Amino acid sequence: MTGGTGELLERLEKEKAAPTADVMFGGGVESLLSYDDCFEPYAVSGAEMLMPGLRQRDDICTPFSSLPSVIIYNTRLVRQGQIRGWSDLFDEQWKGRIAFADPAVSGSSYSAAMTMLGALGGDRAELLESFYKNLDNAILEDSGDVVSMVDSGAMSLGITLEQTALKSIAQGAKIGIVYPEEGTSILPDGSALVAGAPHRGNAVAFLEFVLSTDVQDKVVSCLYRRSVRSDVDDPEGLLPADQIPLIEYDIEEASAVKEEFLNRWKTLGKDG
Amino acid sequence: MFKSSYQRSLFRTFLLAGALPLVICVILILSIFRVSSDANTNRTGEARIASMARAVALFTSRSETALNRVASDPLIISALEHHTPASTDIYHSLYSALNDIPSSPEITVYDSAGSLLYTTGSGKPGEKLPTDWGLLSSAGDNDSVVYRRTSPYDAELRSCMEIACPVKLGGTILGYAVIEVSDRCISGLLADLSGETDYMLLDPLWNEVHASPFLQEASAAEKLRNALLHPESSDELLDDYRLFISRDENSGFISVLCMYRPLNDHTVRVLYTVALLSIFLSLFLCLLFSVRLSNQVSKPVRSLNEAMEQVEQGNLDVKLEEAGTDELRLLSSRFSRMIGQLKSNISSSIRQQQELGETKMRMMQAQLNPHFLYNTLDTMKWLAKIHHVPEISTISANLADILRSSISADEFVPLRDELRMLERYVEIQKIRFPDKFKYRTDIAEDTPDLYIPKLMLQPLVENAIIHGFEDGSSGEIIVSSKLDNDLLVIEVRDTGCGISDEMKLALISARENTGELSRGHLGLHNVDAILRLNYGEKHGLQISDGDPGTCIRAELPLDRVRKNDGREQ
Repeated sequence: MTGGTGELLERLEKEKAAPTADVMFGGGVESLLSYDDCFEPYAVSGAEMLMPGLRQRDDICTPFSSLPSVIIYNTRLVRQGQIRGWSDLFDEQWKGRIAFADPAVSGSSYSAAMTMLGALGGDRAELLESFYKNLDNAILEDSGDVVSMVDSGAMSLGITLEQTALKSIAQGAKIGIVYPEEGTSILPDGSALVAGAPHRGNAVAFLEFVLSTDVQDKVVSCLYRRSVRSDVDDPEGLLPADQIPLIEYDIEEASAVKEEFLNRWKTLGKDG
Repeated sequence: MFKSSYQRSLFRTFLLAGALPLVICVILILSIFRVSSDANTNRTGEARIASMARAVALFTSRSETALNRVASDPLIISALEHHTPASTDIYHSLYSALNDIPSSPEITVYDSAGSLLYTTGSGKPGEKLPTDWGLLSSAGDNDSVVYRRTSPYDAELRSCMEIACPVKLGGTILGYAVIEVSDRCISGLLADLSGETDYMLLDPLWNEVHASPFLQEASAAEKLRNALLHPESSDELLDDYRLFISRDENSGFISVLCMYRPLNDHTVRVLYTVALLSIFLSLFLCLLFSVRLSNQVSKPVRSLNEAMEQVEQGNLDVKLEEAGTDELRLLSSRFSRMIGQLKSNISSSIRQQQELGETKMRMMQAQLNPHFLYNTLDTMKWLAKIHHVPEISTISANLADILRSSISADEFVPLRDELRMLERYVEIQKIRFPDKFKYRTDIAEDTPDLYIPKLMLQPLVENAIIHGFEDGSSGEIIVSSKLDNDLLVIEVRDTGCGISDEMKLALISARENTGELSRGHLGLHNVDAILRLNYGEKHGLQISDGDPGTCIRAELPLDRVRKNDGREQ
């Protein structure tokens, strides 16, 4: 069955005693990790070929593709090089012209916000407040709208996943991508073996399959995603992974403070 | 077509009861169905074309506003005047002009020579559009917002529709602002309609600007154009649709909504064919049933009728086939029984007539020339008196009396007269057979006036005299009469030798074999026949042993006796 990450995970939790699913495919690894008791650790045969840092705790889940958070801009409204990093998002010039999805709705939006706060350093609460002010209440309900808002010129800048931006560019969107100079995070999505899966053999075979070189090649060529395998090249014309400024993103911590963050976010909304 | 009027009226009845309601029902249902589905289609179509027209009008009016805004934007005017290269400020104002237009089209600015300067779309700077003809020329000439369908021969085909207006400064054309509307853009604009309805957007010349995929593939716009140019031609595709058309006031572009007719001509034809077939079927069934039912009834009736005709013509030997429904079978069998009865009645009546005729013949033979005999007897009486032979005188007188009485035309006479005549006869017989028998009568008081058949008693007494004492014995003959309930009982008894069984049998067999009377007992049989003819079969003579002698008994029903009495009087 298909569904949103949260929805599927909740169902797995409910069916823990007698699972009907074999594999959870897709969803941010941080979400998968927070439901670690639903999954059986499994190390795929190519695990040692994973990019450094992508192998997950206890092999509870296997990463599928790498999804860096990026800033996008409308090429007509923003000159190339005008935007360099997260700090530009605090510039008054862009007040109300930043497309950002509500982190309460979008997991990737939350991850991006946490990355931004982590990369900038300093007092998170203060940063968040000034960022919120610069959004000028223009908060999108759907993370899918970010790219189209920027493309149509309704917004000048936006925060989204690299893969989403690349897909739109391939379809003719006039947007550019900026990898923030302060560093960003590469959050993989992953797949995991459901504990007590009725068809464990097939499930294991599937995990091996999605991490195989062939599939990972397709991930690059068809999905505009970065492979999690160190031996599969990134999509052509893309900034090589080792040149993307990265910060350490503590998945466990991010999960831990999510509630606090969202509460604060809501408060900001009320104050504003 | 029909053999009988009965069949015809049956068929009419069936037709009225069966086929007519069906026909009315079918026509009504089809009409109601058609009217209501048409009304439904119209309602939905009108609501949808209205919403489509609203969307198009909103889009065109906002586009005009945006173009006017761009054309009057000092930044754009100055940029065109000075050929400023693209800047974020210019794009900012272009984008903000587009902001209000639903489903985000692209805007492009051309300079006065038709060279592309700025675009939010995918055009490249420097691309050219002609200014001496086409969109830009028309915009310049009209000095207003113009709408064009993008030529399908345009190599780029970035859009399907363009909206342009000139940018002017003091009467000089500095350039042109053009909104490019792509197919995707119109689909987005009309997203509410897609999936439910097929629609087209046509330019004022009825050329296709945009069409939903099905109509586009079917080249519906072209067909519609042809249909408008040649109203007499008909197109299968368009016939299946109900078209709703609305013209946009801003652009002159035409919105066309195609609602598939739930009851298109083809479906209606099929429905009517089915209806017609079922009506024919019901007609056929009506015909079949009326013929069968009427045959069921009319066949027995016809054969009954034929049989009656035969009977009318005197043929009583008709045979009726007993077939058909219960009531008619009953009727046929009753008719057969009736014919049987009639036949036996007629034959018995013929037999009676024959018997009566023969009897009368014999009686008339017996009456032959009675006047001569009577006169002769009278002469004999007087001769005997003259010559003092009293016996001959008595015999002659008595015989004359008997003759007179037998000559009379009366068929019935009072018992009293019959007895007097009998006495005359007995007196003669006493002279013939002196001392052979004694004669006495035992007449009940109320009987002498009752009428009985004439000459009824004489043959009985004669029989008693001749056969009762044929062995030479002598005895008594008693004639008695009495009333017994409804009967007048008359008995002639003798104390003679009795009647033989042979003779009784002869009487019975004579009754059964009509006309075969045994010679010896002619008188007895005559009386018996007369009694039976007049009073019914039951009332013939009864012969029994008198112990000694014989008793011959006649029982005459009083009602008949009195009737004769009445008739005589």
